[in-house]
Amino acid sequence: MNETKTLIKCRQLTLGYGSKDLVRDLDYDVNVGDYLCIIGRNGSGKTTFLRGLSGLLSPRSGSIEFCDGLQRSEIGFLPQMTVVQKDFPASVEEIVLSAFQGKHRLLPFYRRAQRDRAMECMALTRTESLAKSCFRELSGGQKQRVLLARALCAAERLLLLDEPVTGLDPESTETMYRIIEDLHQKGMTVVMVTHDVDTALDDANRVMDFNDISVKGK
Amino acid sequence: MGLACSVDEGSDLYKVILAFLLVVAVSVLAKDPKAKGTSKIDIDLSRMSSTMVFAQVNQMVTTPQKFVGMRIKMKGVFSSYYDNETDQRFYGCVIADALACCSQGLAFSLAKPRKFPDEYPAEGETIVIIGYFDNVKEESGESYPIIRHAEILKE
Amino acid sequence: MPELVEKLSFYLDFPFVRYAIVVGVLVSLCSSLLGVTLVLKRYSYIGDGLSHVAFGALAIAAVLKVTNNMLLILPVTVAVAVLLLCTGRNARIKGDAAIAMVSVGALAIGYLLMNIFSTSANISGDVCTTLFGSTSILTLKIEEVYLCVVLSCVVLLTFVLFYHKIFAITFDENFARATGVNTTLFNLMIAVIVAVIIVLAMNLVGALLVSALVVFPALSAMRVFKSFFSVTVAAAIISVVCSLIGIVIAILAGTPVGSTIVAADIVAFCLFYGVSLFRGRGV
Repeated sequence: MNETKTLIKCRQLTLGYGSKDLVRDLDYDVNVGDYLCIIGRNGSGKTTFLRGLSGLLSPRSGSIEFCDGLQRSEIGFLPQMTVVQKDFPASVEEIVLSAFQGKHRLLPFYRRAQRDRAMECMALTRTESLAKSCFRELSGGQKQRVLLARALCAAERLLLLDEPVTGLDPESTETMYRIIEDLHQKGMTVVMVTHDVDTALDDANRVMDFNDISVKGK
Repeated sequence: MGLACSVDEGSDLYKVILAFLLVVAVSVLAKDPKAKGTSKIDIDLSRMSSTMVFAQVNQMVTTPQKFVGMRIKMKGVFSSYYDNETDQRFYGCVIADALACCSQGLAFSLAKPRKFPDEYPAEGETIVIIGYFDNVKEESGESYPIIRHAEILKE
Repeated sequence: MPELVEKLSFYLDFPFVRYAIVVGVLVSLCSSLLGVTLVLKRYSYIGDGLSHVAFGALAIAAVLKVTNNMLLILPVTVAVAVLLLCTGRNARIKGDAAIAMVSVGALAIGYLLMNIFSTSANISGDVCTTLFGSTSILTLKIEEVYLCVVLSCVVLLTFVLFYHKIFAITFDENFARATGVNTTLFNLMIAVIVAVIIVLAMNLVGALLVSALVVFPALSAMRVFKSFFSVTVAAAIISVVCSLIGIVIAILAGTPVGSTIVAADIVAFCLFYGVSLFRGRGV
């Protein structure tokens, strides 16, 4: 990582909902191989920024530019769990495989290679033994790892994680962090929104503090 | 429950039903000789549940041409109605359902005329009638179904 | 028992009973498949709202004396479904109120129109059968049967073809969108399909009971089964079996078809709920 290459370039970026701009005139670069932690108060725009990067939210103004040949299909996204998902009757396998829906347009089934890749991602997140289990019966930590596996299936180069350890017990949190660290070591660029400032400072090689940015403006 | 096996194949279900029908047809034919004494009844509404009667009568009212001339047997409640304009009294056999909103009835005229009201059943009395279905066209162009040449079996 | 079988085979002799069974099976199949998605997306009330809209449209069709009223009911319901499902997403509470408003409004105006303008001698019978599906499934015209069969097949085919996409959107719409699934398009598709199913199901169980057909099989299946696929298949089987039982009981015992089917669905739900409790204790 001595030679930094830019992966995503944000210029004059403004993001927001309704009448409210949560991110204003932001200039920021995410580099290849970064482990970037985004911290800040609730409502400071961390998640909004992540949603902008994931393409869920289009910029009010300014630009988000993908560099180094990054494609949208190479980004994996782990959103915060919704109430609906917590009680969802689906097998782990079904959920992880659903990551491929963005890749092939019309096939009504999954290809062999995709199934293999799904197993690989489940192995990476230590959920391969859960493949046939029911999602709603898993513990919070297991659920979060399954969703990480799904994000991995979609991600080849960049992982966007939105508070992946919120609500987990210390042990699950530790496991989660180790998995993410492993992935980073293998060359994955990681952008993580978190409330856990200590870990952010320990593991991450860069920290972005939204408390500062939102006050500072540009 | 056996029908459930053919859930997503309407055609299979249809085959099952057709097979069923075949059996029914055979059994009906086999039974026929016994019923030879009296003249044949084409549609026996008195044997049907109220849901079926409603549906069947609905068919007869909406597509009367298919049923004209058929011998009908029905069980229901006697009712009559006097039309001031035409100075005519109509007699009907009404089949009510529990909510009374989906009741269906047919008018009838007797084969051997009787005097009203002495020789007719009382309003609301249960009757069984047999007669021939017909579709009467009025001068106004509208038509209504009626059972002609009816006889009242039970009063 | 042999007496019942004989009676049943006697009834099956009538073409309208066979049509009712064919249409009943197809409609309950379609409604249960989409029901799983609607329940999971917390859209259960959509079915109710749309059916009232369909009732309103039916009243308008009756007033305008449209011969094939499906031609009017279907587009109106589809339009409202698209409006509700595709705009209600961003403003949940407003969408909720919109559905309540539209559905009750349509119901009231529909009844009013039918009462003022209807040429039918038996208004209460018409209203009763369209609201509660007392017998409408048994009084289908042959064109309506064909239309139902064709539309159901289209719905089934669409569902099978896009099953995985529908799953992805149901489970996590945000993720699906982030990975490049055109969620707007598929939400639109789901809205259209739901509207079609509601209109078809209105024939089977009546406008007021449509939600039962959509919601109950899905809820029953979700009690016991653990993967989306098994839930979907189980919901379909439960729904079809209940509809068959309901129709058969209704014609044998002379009960109203719609409510008998719903009663069968409720019984099935209780059974599955019992099984889930029993299992929960066993494990």
